[in-house]
Order: sequence, then C-alpha cells, then structure tokens
Amino acid sequence: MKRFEMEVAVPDKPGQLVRVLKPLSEVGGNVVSITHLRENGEARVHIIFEAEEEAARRFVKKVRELDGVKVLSLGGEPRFETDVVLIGHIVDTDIKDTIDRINSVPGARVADVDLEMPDPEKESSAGFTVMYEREEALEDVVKTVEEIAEEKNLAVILPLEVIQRCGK
Amino acid sequence: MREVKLFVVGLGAVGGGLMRLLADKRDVYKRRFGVDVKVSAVADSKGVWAGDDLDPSEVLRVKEEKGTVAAVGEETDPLSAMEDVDFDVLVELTPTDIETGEPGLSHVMKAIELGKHVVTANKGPLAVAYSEIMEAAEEAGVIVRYEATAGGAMPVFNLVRETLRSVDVLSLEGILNGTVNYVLTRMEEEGVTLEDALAEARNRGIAEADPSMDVEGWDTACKVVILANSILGVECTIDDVDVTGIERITPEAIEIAEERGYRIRLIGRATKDGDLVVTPALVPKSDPLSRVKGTMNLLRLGTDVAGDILVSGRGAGPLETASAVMSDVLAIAEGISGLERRHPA
Repeated sequence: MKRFEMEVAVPDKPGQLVRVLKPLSEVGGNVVSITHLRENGEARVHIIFEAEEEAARRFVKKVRELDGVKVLSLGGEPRFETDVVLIGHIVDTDIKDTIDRINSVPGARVADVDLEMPDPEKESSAGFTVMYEREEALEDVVKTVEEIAEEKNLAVILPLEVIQRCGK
Repeated sequence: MREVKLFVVGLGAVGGGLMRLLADKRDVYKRRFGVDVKVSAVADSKGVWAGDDLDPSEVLRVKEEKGTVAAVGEETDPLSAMEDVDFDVLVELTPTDIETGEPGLSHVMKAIELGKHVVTANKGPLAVAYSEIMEAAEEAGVIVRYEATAGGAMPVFNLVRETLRSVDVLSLEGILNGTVNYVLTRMEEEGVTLEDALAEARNRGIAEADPSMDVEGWDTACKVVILANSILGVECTIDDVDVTGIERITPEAIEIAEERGYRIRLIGRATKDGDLVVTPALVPKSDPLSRVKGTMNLLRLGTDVAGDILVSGRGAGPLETASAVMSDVLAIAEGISGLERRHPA
C-alpha cells in the first residue's frame, strides 16, 4: 500500500464526511488521518490515506463524482484521469511521439494505451488514459491532444464531461 | 367555428404525412379545439393546386397517381400563387438547403410580407437566417413556429415557451439525428463498419440515398443553431458551429470506448455563452444520452433553477414530424382570435 493525501471541499452539512469516506472503504483503503475545517458554509477536509495505487485512483474518481464535492488537491500518486480515443494512422504517425508530447504537459502522463489495428491499410483506433495532477491541467492536455491530432490527421473523441468543461 | 386555412408547400414525406394526419384527425381537432383546419392550396416542385377546401385524401391520391399536383392545378410557383390564394398559415415543408435556405427562405419571407403566419419543418431558412425571419415576423405582427425542425415529434420549443416559463435555459445538448444514432447503435451492437451500418439504414428507409448531411453532422448543426437562437437567445447561423461528423468512427473505436465504460454518440451542444459544437463524444454508460438507441432523439436542457430537464421522442418519420407541424398550426389557430384582422387590406 502507498500513502496518499487529498484535500476536498464539501458542503458544511451533516453526513458529508461519511459520503467522502465511504468510497475509500469500498475500494479497500484505510484512513491515516483526517482534519476538518469549517468556514463560510463549506468544510475543507484533508485526508491522508493508504491504498493500492489502482484502488486510490478508483477512490479519487468516485469522490470526484459526488455531487457538491470538489477535489482541491492531491498528493502522492493518484491523479485525475481522463480518456481520449484517437482514430487514424496512429502507429505510422509515431505513437511514441504522441505519447511523449502528452507526457510533456506539466503534471500529465499517459497511463494506459489500447491500440486496435484491424488491417495495416485501414485507420487504427486507440484509447489513451491520461492522468494529471492538477484539475487545471486538463485544458492543456486537451489542447495538446488536439494539436497532435490536427498535425497527424487523427480524429479525437473526448468524454462528454471534458467537452462540457473545456468547450471544444 | 374558427377556420384556419393552410397553404402547404412541399408534398414529400412530411407533406404527405400532414395530409394523412388531416384526413384522419380533422374532425377530432374540430371537436377538441373548435378549429377547422382547411387546406386552401398545396404546392410541389412542379406546380400549385388551389381550391376552397381541398380534400387531403384527394391531394394524396393525385400526388401518388400523377406525380404532381400541377396535373390538376397549375404549373406555377408558390411565390406568385401566395398572392392570389386566400390563406392564413403558410406550411413550409420543402427540402432543407443549408447553404442558401432556399427555396424555403423565399417562401417564408413572402408569407411574412403578405401578413401570413408561418409553420415550418424546414431547417434551412432558420439555420441561415433565423434573426432576419424573426425580425420580419415581429414587424409584420405574424407568428413563425418551427417545432418540427429539431427532434421531429419531440417537443422542445413549445415545451420551453409554454411550460418552462419560469426558468432560464443555460445550455442544451443531445442526440438530434436519428439516422446517425441508428448507425452508431448498429455498429455497437453488431461490430459492423460505418459503411455496412449505413447500407442497412438505407435499406430500411432510415437513411437517405445521400446521407452526408447526417453523417457529417450538418443536420445536427442546423438543429443546434435553431435551438440556440430560439431557446438560449444566442444569435448565430450554421457558420458559427464547430462541426465534426461520425465519418471516421470505427468499430474498434466503439469497442475501446465500450471497454472504458462509454458509448460513442454524436452530440449537438450549445451554451448561452455561444459555444456551439457538434461532435462525436464518449458518453458514460451512466448518462441517459448513452442509452438512446436507434432513431430516437434526446435533448437535455440545463436550467438555472430547475436542474436538468430531459425530453425524448421520435426524431423523424412522416406522421411524427407532421404531428409537430399540426401542433404549431393549432397553437396559432387557438392563440389568435380574429386572424383576419392581421391580414393586410
């Protein structure tokens, strides 16, 4: 198990802390310490926890999906993550360069790639999971992916949530 | 009994559907609303047939047997015929042209100029000249309604106008093209290529012979423009939309998306800030938009005080689309007492 820390803002109402911590037990993680600070109708919760890397990622993802809860910062290994699907001549246009350039966005890295090539003549399809440390890095990731896609004539399919957040 | 006299231009699938609807339900509308919907003229690309009270079944029969209503009417243009025929509402159902909006745009402007109300299912005129049409209509004191232009039978414009009076809609997004959604659904279920799914859609009469308007996203873009103008108050035309179609979607991309918990859907989206986009998107399986299958449409309105509101319905089909056209006609007939007074001398 690794140790991580996370700061979240939750509405200052009863039951909020439990909502945030429940997903941690669901993924099999343990709380190390919690501090809880109330101000202006909001509570800031600083959590240090232990979990396997994969479980920590799932925990953070679940917390981010909670209504009214905002993840303010993350320390240690877990990241925000997003998926991107690319279609085109992904290998011929240097997939390593594509990955390196996404990795060059500060705080971002490609965690996972699935590549499907039905036929060398035809366009291939790839799914990328990109992890990033700060919420704001998403826009830079999207911009970089779109630049690469433009240059290499790849089609980009982004999650709806990313389109909502970053425009297009 | 109040009368409303229609001049119907365009006798394709929707025009035909309207005739069938009238043949079936004219008496129902009479009883329910005290409104007698009469057909004063019908026009197709070859000519115009005008009469005091045309029988919709007869119009359908002539169209089917002779190919054009010019066979019993005259070989003339609706623009000149509109000047001579006594009617209250122009029903504009000609095919959509997103470059010029024609011939629908001229028909609509002519009717407004003559002081007639307009109901249209044609996206072209509104996608290229929404503001001009609405300004002209306001000046002339006539009503322009267009429920059928986005989402066919799915109520959207009238829902917002009549029912959601107390809220502001801040954003809207949805699946607005049944052909594209059918193709994506088939690719997802059967693992077939875009070409094969399209061929199947064509065989089943879902896709047109040339489906490029749908596949390249332009049809969805037209709907986004009309929705953004009408519901969000964003003044825009088709040129303002960032459009990507589904041309390049592969079965493998759909499979990769599936493994990651998404379905690929063509999303039309507009915000009050003027962000206008049509693009394929990865929609999480937990999102109702991902569960829209086949030719259904679904629109999600993001409101300021009422949260999200979702509407779904059949986005196409002759009778379905005609039902939206007829609802507009009845709303105009009901809402206006003394239609005649609005006509120029």
